[in-house]
Amino acid sequence: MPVVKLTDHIIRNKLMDKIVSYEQVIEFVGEIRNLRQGYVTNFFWDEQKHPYWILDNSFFYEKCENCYILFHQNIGFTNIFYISTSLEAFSEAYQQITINNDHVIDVVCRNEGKGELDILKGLGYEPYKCLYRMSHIGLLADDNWERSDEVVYANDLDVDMVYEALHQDFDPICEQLPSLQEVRDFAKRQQILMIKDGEKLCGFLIFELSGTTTWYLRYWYTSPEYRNMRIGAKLLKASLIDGKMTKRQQLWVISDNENAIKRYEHYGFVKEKIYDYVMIKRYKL
Amino acid sequence: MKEKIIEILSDLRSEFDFSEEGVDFIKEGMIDSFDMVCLVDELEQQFGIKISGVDITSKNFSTVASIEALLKKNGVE
Repeated sequence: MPVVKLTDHIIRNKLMDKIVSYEQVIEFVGEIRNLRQGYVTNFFWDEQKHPYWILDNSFFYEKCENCYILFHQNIGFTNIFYISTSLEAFSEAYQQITINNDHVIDVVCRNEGKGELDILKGLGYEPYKCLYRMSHIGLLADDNWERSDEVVYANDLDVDMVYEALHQDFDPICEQLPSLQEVRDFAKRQQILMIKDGEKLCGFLIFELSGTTTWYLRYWYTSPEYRNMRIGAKLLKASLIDGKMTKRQQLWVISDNENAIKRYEHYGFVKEKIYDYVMIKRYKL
Repeated sequence: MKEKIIEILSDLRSEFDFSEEGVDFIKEGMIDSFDMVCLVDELEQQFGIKISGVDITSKNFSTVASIEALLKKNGVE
């Protein structure tokens, strides 16, 4: 099973310090904003995700002029985030650093993000994928919906199976795959629904509930040999029943995944004008 | 000021009722950190202020009352 391994560069490079808390990130934001020279970022703290990066020591930063660059070490690539007075300041700071694997930057914006993307292209990045945010506003689960008896909550013994399927079938570069501990905690919170055929995994769905208002689909998977058997529909319905009190349901989908988009639209989800452009810079020896 | 804050929040997330007293928007998942960045920009533009970086914490944006207190601290009447 793959595990996150820090690159030699990060171990050797004492300039990159570990991020140890949420408060520390807030201090970075404060420091940059207080320069009163503008503020841009592609880092949005997620209580359900980022604490794990701190716990597994895979989250680092480097302080530069007018900019903090944050690094999240993944298997085979590094996610880059900026907290900066401007993209130009980030661009200058970025040119001072070197990392010996592929770099990935997500640009989340409410428009086409042309300015941001052009600057990143100038730094050697190329477009990898684009994701849309899709949402449904209002109650979604119908009172008449019944949960299929086949759907169960994943338990501790199922966690490895789910983790392996995630890492085999999802794209780690644009789908921000969870660590084993994260998957374990999703299971503990009863946020992994699954259907099994004996010991075989037919499909699973991971979702989050933010308070009582928002349902968020994280991962939805059907094993290839069980497709077209309504496994996915049963899982989705069951999770929406669990989140039936929510007034907003949302998810991110890869823009060229037309089948998935059609399925979400079928359930009443609509595309928002919020995009996540995933840009990659390939490491060259 | 309270009405204006509610209006800005509602523009950001029209599906929620921000006028309900005592609701913690962050804990309830009504706004996330992406919304919070947009909210700070909007408050700064609408009220003509600059919010200090150290004040950009979840606590200061979790209720209408906390946002109101933050604006007052920044000289908004």
